[in-house]
Parts: sequence; structure tokens; C-alpha cells
Amino acid sequence: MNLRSLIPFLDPSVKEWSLEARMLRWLTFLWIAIGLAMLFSASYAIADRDFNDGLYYVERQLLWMIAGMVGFSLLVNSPLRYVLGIADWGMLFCLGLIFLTLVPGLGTTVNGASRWLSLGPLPILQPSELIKPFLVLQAARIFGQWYRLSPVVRLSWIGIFALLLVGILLQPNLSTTALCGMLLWLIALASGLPLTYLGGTAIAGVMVATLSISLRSYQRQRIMSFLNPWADASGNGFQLIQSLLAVGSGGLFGTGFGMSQQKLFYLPIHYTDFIFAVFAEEFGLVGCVLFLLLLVGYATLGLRVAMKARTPVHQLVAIGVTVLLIGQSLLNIGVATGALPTTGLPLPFFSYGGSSMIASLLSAALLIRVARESGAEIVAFPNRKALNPQ
Amino acid sequence: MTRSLPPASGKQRRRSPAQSGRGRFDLRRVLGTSGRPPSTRRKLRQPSAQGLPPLLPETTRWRLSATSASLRSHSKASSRTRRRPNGPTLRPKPPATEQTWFRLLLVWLVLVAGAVLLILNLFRIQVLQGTELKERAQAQQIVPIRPFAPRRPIVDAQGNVLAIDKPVYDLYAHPKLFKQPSQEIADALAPLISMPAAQILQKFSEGESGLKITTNLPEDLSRRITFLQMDGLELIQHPQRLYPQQELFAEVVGYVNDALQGQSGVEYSQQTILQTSTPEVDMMRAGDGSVLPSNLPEELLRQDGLRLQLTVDSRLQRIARAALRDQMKKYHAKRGTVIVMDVQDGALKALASEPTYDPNLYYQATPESMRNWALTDLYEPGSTFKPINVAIALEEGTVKATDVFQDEGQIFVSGWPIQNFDYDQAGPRGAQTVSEIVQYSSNVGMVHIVRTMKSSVYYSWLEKLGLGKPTGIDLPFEGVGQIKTREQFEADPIEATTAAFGQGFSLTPIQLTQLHSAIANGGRLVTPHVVEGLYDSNGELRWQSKLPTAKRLFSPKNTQDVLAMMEKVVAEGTGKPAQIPGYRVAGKTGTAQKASPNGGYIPGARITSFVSIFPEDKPRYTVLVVFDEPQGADAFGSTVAAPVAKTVMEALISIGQIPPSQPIESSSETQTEP
Repeated sequence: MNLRSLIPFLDPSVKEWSLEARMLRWLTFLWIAIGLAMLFSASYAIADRDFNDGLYYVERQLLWMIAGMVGFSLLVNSPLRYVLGIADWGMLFCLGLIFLTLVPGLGTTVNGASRWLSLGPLPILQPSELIKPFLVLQAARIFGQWYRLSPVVRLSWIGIFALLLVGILLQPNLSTTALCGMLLWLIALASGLPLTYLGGTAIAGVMVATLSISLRSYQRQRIMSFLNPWADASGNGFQLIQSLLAVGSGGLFGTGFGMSQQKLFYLPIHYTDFIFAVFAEEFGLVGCVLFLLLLVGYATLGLRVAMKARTPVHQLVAIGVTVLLIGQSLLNIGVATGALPTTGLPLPFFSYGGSSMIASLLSAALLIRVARESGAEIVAFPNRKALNPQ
Repeated sequence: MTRSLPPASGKQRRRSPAQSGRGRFDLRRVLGTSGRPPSTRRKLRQPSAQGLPPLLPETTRWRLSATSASLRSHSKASSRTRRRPNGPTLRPKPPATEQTWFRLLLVWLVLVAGAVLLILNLFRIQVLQGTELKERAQAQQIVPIRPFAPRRPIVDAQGNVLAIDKPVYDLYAHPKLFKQPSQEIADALAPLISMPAAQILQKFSEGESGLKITTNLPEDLSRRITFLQMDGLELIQHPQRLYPQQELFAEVVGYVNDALQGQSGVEYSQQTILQTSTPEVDMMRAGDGSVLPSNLPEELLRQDGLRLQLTVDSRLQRIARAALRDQMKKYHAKRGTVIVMDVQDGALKALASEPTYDPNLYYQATPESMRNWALTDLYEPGSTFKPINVAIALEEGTVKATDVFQDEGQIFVSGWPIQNFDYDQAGPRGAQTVSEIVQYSSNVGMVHIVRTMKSSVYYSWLEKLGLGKPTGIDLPFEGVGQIKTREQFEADPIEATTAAFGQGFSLTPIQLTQLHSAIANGGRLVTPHVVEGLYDSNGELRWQSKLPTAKRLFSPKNTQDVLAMMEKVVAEGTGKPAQIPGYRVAGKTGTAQKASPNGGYIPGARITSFVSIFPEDKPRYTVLVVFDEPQGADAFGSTVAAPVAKTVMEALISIGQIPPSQPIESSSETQTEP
């Protein structure tokens, strides 16, 4: 394999990619660039205070991005069927990690939820992030071939999916659970499964969510504070109010890049889950609309890729990645702007976090690979001749 | 599980249409969407034809055969569906049907709808509620602060510091943070703050935090407390006003209270000028409480270095006060004051009044000692007012300097006996010139001089002098002299008669000095003041208060005549003790009965005074010395007050480097002869 193809910007094959693939690639890079710039702005002050190094988070994010880029390059140059082939193992592996986080002593508990896992020399990992691309692939495989599968297989995988949701929910991580649930549901919807199934699952999901909320007081309080954050401005509503103050301060045109005041230790976790509030403060409504247009453009390209995909599985991978990246972004923005309950969900390519960065880059690579394989490009299948004597 | 899975070979295609589950779902879809079974079938068959890798349980087999099998099957399927020979690459037609397109579009629509809703929500937050939210955000981000600005220093005419801010420290204890036993800390502190350890311990026991132990510790002590390195002790710095000259200028400079607000003297009257006014600044504050230096105003840390310079002179003041004290002790006087005024502009060169206080310890002072009575208290000037009356008569033209009046020694006006102070010994003096009347301080002669004017004219002159009105000095709490109403004054000739020798009305010592300065400077009524102006560190004048233009009272020729008469007083009359060899001194003694607050006069209580103008030939200073209730039979203006005036004038000679008017040897001889 050409080493240059490991570096996304030097990949020699790009010229031959389909239009959608190339556009998605550049949109992804643009998204990452904006995200890094925002992370720089949002994290500098707190990194300077906590580590005496303003670039602490940006440097680490860059390292994660480089690692993710290698994976990205490998994925866009590998036939999708290879990846699909290991999707089940990958997903089960990550599922195992998720359950490991529940083991006391192994999971790192932050803010009352043990979502992180320290794996020996590896820095802290967030398996619930890493599982997302595998989940998309596996869900696409299952729902894309639904009618070819025996009921036992279907039920087995539905059971594994349910186990995954329960595992994440137990961390507890309601937001990722909701995201994965919606992801599965929308992939299933796109696959053409009967609406009765989907409706039933949706109702069941809502009931589980309601049950989870009613069982866990901290989640219930968060829901309550989301409905009226000003009722408990210094307690449960604090995070959301600080976020709203940041977003509102942005006004129409924003305060300008780097000029956010709320990021100066008013808004907690502003460099991870609430980075959009800093973005909104600095770039205002105009910047927000432009960013949402970027997301819509990305989603539209994802839709086109899905429609052009050769097989239902490819279709579902494409639409699944689109839902994963764009849906997660919209959920994150919804949380930061008080449209949704306050939960911890990173904004892809913006929020600081290695797991999220790698998972998002791999997901984007999957989408681009689908675009390559379904477009007009002459996609190389390296082992084809060897394996296909015809 | 393995049993039900299709093997990854061509066999699965034959089996798949027969799957029961699939058929049932197809039917539903047909009903729901007026469907197309063929398309559905094609769509469903396509994936199998594409040959995706089989699912997990079959991996053992798949690892060997899946890829090749799927590719094989794919090429077969493609060649069949498109009825085209397979090329070297795969370019399959997109298999999506309207059905799946619709479902995909549905997912896309969900996302787009989400984005649109978020934009609407953002519009609500950022535009509709933006202003309110921004205000709320700024309420927590912006702190108004008033930067600390030290009070401006006050200096005398030479630049000697009279008042300045210095940092002092209040000591607080937080016993809950103590690392050492309370006893140990108290023992360490006791010698430093000069407080018994037991008392410190007592204070420690009053609470667990924020206990004030002592206040106003100077910097070196605070540093030694810091060096103790004991947790739980806190030193809070604040400025304190320091008066290095202590009581020397208490009546001029005044003092500030704990809140650094001027309470008397210049500190009070010039409060707005001394208190450097820094505007409140909106400072950006970070969430952790730190202040952002980004929008600090330029002038925040820049001090203009201006200081308030006074006209007073420390050297003169010191001499004046010392002389005053000596004389007060000698004659057991209750109070005394020395005022030295520059006759040209009314600037006070010295203003000492006794008793006084130390403004550093103002809280220990008695109210009486804090009273700047030269300014606040009224007295009847007595004989020292006579030269003023002469000047009025000369100016009015009813009297000429050469006129002669009969001095009967004693006359009766409205039934009241009026007599000279020495009538009992000297009896009638007979024909006296105006000059002699002044020289011997003849009451009867003065009555004759004043009575050449109509009382209404004379009263108008008293008004014109400013009696009954403040002088407008730039020190606070100035007393306002009392004078009878015009009706009372004109109704009874006794009023003008007593006023002729300076009784029956009152004024402040400052006002009398002002009037004599008018004699000295050629007739202009200057405004007394102590503030020179604000000077910067380079000694350049940056601000000066505007004094009112001096009102002209007398013509220079007439004042010249009065000065000549007053010189005679010192040369030959009652003012001899004020003589200075080689210098021409004009002066006038005064010994007046002390008016009682209850009306009439206090028996035996007198106010002795001496006013002098110096040098007579080129007047520069007016010196007024007043003693309140000196004791002793020999306590007169000439004996008590004149020597002090002489001491002050001698100091003026050396400070002002005033050359003598005539050769010292000869002048002393001529003056001592008569």
C-alpha cells in the first residue's frame, strides 16, 4: 500500500473519487478544522490555568486526530466488506469494554458516571464512543439483510443491541443510550422494516427511557432543570443557564473568535460537551446557522451516497453514519441550547476527547468509502484477481 | 443458529424466496403502499446476490470462502440483472427503489427538521432573548470597581510634607486556621503589637474566624508579623493619613477620620481636590473571580502625582507657635493666635492658634483644642480697629491727617461715660493731632474723629468693610462677625461712639488681619487664603482656585497716612516693644474688655492684641497677635502681644530676606532716644 495514502491530504487516489466522496472528504476536513479552532478558543484559558499550557487540550486533540486520520485513510482505501466482516467482532469487543467500565475499579468515574476505561498504557478510553462505528456497521448488516436472516439470528442480534443499550444506560449514560437507540431505530426505519415493528420498538424505547429517568434521581433532576433551568439557577439549572447565557450573549453576529466571556470559567465543561455554547457566543446566530447548514449539507451528501449505494447494507451504512454524525451533532446542540435535557454527548470533531475524535473520523471514513464504492470511480479491489479466477 | 443461516454459496439464492417470513412482510407492504412485489423481490434479492459476508456464527467457514464466494456471486448477479458482460470492474446500478428512497428521505428529513428546529430555537435565544441573556451574562461577568486612589499629599510653601497617605495594616485572626496552639501565637504576637498575650488569647476565643486583633500597624511591624509565618493571621492593608509635622499645622491642615473623609482644615475644605476622583470602572471578571486585565482603563494605575501646596511656611509657623506658647505660659492666657498674612494677595504665611492638637491622634483631642478660634470665634477688636476708623474718616474726607481734636479725657455720650484707658493717670490730653490720637490710642479722640461723619455714612463704611460677612477664606467653619442693624446703629449715638474704639461689634482675628492688610497694600480688601494650588512632581502649577478680585476700600494716599501714624505707635507710642532695629514697623496695640456671651463685659477678662504691618515703607506682611484672657496687671497689648509680633517679624526678616530700611546702628539710636 502506498504510504502516502495513509496521509489523507496526500492520498493520490482522491482525484478519482466520486464527487460525493470528495465533497464529503473536504466537508469532514472543514468540520475538523473549525472544530480544532473552536477547541483552541474554548480550552486555552482552562488549559492554561490547570496545566500551565494553553495548548494542552489542542495538542492532545491533534494527536488523536492524527491517529484517527490514519484509521480514516486505511478505511477509505479498504473495501467495505472487510470492515463489515469484522463489525460484529468489533462491536462485541467494545460491548465487553462497556461492561468492563461497570466493574468497580476498572471504570473511571467522572461526574457520577463511569464511562471511561483506563487500559494499561493506553490513555482513558470511552468504549461507548468507540462502539458507534461498529454499531452502525453491524446494524446495517442485520437490518440490511433482515429477510435473509432466521428469526433466531434476528432475535440474537436484537438482544445484543438491547444489551448494548442497557450497558451504556447502566454507566449511566442516558444520552449515548438515546443516541444509539435512535441510531438503531433510524437504520431500521431506513431498511424498510415494517412500521408496526418500528412503532412498537419506539414505544418500548420511550418506556425504558421513562423508567430509567424515574429510577435515577440525578437524571430526573436534570430533566426537571431542563424544563425550567431558572428555578434552580445555582444548582441543577446552573450548567444550562451558563450555556444559555453564552449562546444568548452571542446575539446575531457573535462576540468574535476567542472573545467568549462565558468560557472563562463560568460555563463548566465548555471544551467538551458544551463547546457549541462557546461557538455560539463567539459567532452568533450567523455562525450557528452556517454551521447547521454545514451539517445539513453533510446530511444531504450522506443521503445521496445512501441513495446511490449498491446494496441495502451500504445504504444503511451511509445513512447510519449520517445519523451518527449529524444526529449526534444536533442532539449536542439541542442540549447546549436547552432544547433537550442536559446530558453528556460530545459534539463530533469539536469536543475534546480522543475516543470521540477517532470514532467520528472512522465513521466519516465509512461514509466516504461507501461513496467511493457506489460512485463512478473505478474502485480497486486488491485481492479480487487472486480470489476470483474467473 | 448455524442451521438456519444460509451458507455463503449460490444455494442461498434458491432458498431465499421460499422463506416464510419474507413473504408475509411483503404482503403487508403491498397493502400499505400499493406496492410492487417484483421490485421488492429484486431489492431483496440483490443483497444476497451482492454476497455480503455472513454473520458471526459462521465465521469459521466464512474466513476461507466468503470473500471469493461473494465476489463470484456478485459478478454473476450483476451480469444477469443488467444483461451485460461483466467487465473488469463492478459498476452496479443503484438498487434503491422508491420505497427505500422514501425511507432514506424520511431519515434525512428527520435530521433536517431537527436542524431547522434548532435554528428556530437559536433565533429565539440569540435574537429574541439575546439582549436579556447578554445582560444577565454581563451581570456576572462585569464588576464595577473603584480603583484605589491615594489622597493627595499636602505640602507647605517650601514643599515640606504636611499630610500624606501611608499604608497601615489591620491584624485579623482566624483561629480555625491556626496550625500552632493559640498560646504560642499569642506569645509571638504580644511583643509586636504591644498587647498582653492574655488579652490576645481572649480575643482569639471570641470566634473562629475574622477576629480583629489590632489596627493601624505600621509597615515594619506588619512585615515582622508576616515573618512569623503563622497560619490564621491576616494583615489587611489600608491607607492612613499621616501628619508628619504633628500639631504644627493642625488648624490649617485639619485631619481626616477613619473613612479618610476630611473633618477640618484644608482636609475638609479641599476634600474634592485632595480625594483624587477615579471614576468607577467596569472590569471583566472571569468565573473563578480573577479580574481580566484586558479592559483596564489607562489611568487606573497612573497617578498624577499632584500635591496640594499651601501658602504657609513651616519655619515661620514653628517660630510663631513657639513664641505664642511661651507668652501664653508666661501670662497664663487661655488662648492665643498668631496670623501672618501676605498683604498683597491675602495668602496666610502662618496661622497658629493655641491650644491645638495632634491630627494623628485627633480622637484624643478635646473639642476646645480642635477649635481654630482665629477663624471661628468672634471678639471685639478694641484699639486695633482704630487705624481702620481713621482710614475711613480720611477716605470720607471729614478729617485730614493734620487735623487737631480736643481730647477731654472723658466724655459722656447718651449718658455713658467714655474715657481714655489712662484717664485716671493722665487726665485730659488737650489738643491732639489725628496721629497723636492713634499713637496714644485715645478713645475720646477717636470718638471725635468718627463723629465727624454721620452715623449712617459710618455704618455704610462698616458694611463696606465686610463686617457681619465672612471673609471667604478657604478654611472651613469661619465665624461671621456681628454688627448692629442699621436701625439700631443710627438710633443711638453710643453705637458709633463705641465702634470708634473698636467695641460694640465683633469680628474674627482673620477678618481684622484682612482689614489691616488693606491699610498695608494701599486700600485693597484681599481674600485670606492658605491654598496655593495643585503642583505636579516637577513643581509646575496645575490648578489654582480663583480668588475674588480685591475690592478697593481706601486710596493709597490715605493708607499711607494711616501707616505713618501706626509707625509712630511703634516708634513712640504703645507699640514700642515691637521695635526692630533698622526696620520700620507700623503697629497698633489693643486691649479690650471681653464681651460676655450673656451681654455686657466679663469683669477682669480682657483680650490683648497687637497688629503690625511690616516693613512700613514697603509693606509685605500683616502680623496679628491676639491673647485671650492673659493674667496679670501688666497684661496689655503692648506687653503681651507686641513681643510675640516682634519675634515673628524677626523670623520674617530672615525667611523673607528683607533688607533693613536704614542703617541699623543709627536707627536704633534715634528710636531709643525719645
